Amino acid sequence: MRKRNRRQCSGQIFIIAVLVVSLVLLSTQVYIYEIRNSLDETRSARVNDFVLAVKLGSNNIISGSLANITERGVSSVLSENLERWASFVDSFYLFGTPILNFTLKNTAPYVNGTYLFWGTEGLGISSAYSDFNFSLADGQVNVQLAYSINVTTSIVVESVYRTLSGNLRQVNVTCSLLNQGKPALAETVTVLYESSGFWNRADQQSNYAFADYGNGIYFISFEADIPEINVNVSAQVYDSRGVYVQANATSTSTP
Amino acid sequence: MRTVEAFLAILLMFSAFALTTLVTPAATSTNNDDLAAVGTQALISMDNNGELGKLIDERNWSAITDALNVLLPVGMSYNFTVYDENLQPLNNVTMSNGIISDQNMVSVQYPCVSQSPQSNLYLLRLQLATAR
Repeated sequence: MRKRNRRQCSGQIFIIAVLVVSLVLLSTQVYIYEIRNSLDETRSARVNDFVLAVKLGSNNIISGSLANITERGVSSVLSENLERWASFVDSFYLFGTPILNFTLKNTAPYVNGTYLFWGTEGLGISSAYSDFNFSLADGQVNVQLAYSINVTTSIVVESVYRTLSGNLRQVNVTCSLLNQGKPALAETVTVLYESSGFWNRADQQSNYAFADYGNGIYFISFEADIPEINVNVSAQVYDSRGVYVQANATSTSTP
Repeated sequence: MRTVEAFLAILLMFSAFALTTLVTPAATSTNNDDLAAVGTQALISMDNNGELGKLIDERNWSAITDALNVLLPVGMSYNFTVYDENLQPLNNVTMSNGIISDQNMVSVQYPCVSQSPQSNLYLLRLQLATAR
């Protein structure tokens, strides 16, 4: 009788062991579920990084194209470079199929994605704008992203002068450089003035002074013989991205 | 009766072992993805203001190596190669901080554009491994 009871007990132990193993299995399943979740997050992060790289590249190629256009004046460079960039992005990504499409902005004042306004009243703008559509199918992660890139370099020139004696005038020019409307640093700032119908460099004149305030504002002062009634100055600036912009201004007289 | 219970228990044990082996490669894959994320983030940091493209335009390989040494965590080995638009390698010096074994190595590919008027396109390949 006792032996039979023992046998029944050992059967129960087996059942308990099976239950324990089942619990172990269940916890393992939960562990796998957690791991898969974290894997999906990591894959998503990897795709996000790639998307960010593509956006950065789009921004850089528009900056470079604008630098090229403002330097050489061929506006077709922008679309050519963006086509190169789009096919480059489409070709090498290993984990999925990226497709990058772009549309150059063609609403006023932009023409074929570019807008150059180098005015005579103290304002100069060099700008390029494009809309992008990016899609990426990466196994479990699908990305559809529309974004716009606007690269704008603008300059505001203000100038005052005072007559020292005869035609000798002291001219003070203040240039404010902006990238996308925010203060930006310049690579080079060249100021010219008009005298007897010719444009001359201000930095070759006596008492030339240049101050960089470090906040996108540059102050230039010089003295020159200027026989004209109006003292016209021109500021030619390359920003740190290599984009060129210029603006002319007529100086106002101060006592 | 006990034979059936023993059979069931053994079957369940085998199932548990099978599931455990399934979990192990997934964990390795997570580590590799983490490595890739660290590498990509380092390249994005360098490329954020167009500095990376500028350094490549200038063929300033030592500055790139210095930047990677700073940006990548200590204990992480890397090997960095720059390819041009036609996928020809550009760097004539090795940009690396040590020996990478083929095991547990991750390769990150990154498209880079220089902000120069030429708008040069580069494909960057960063191979990463943690020292073990």
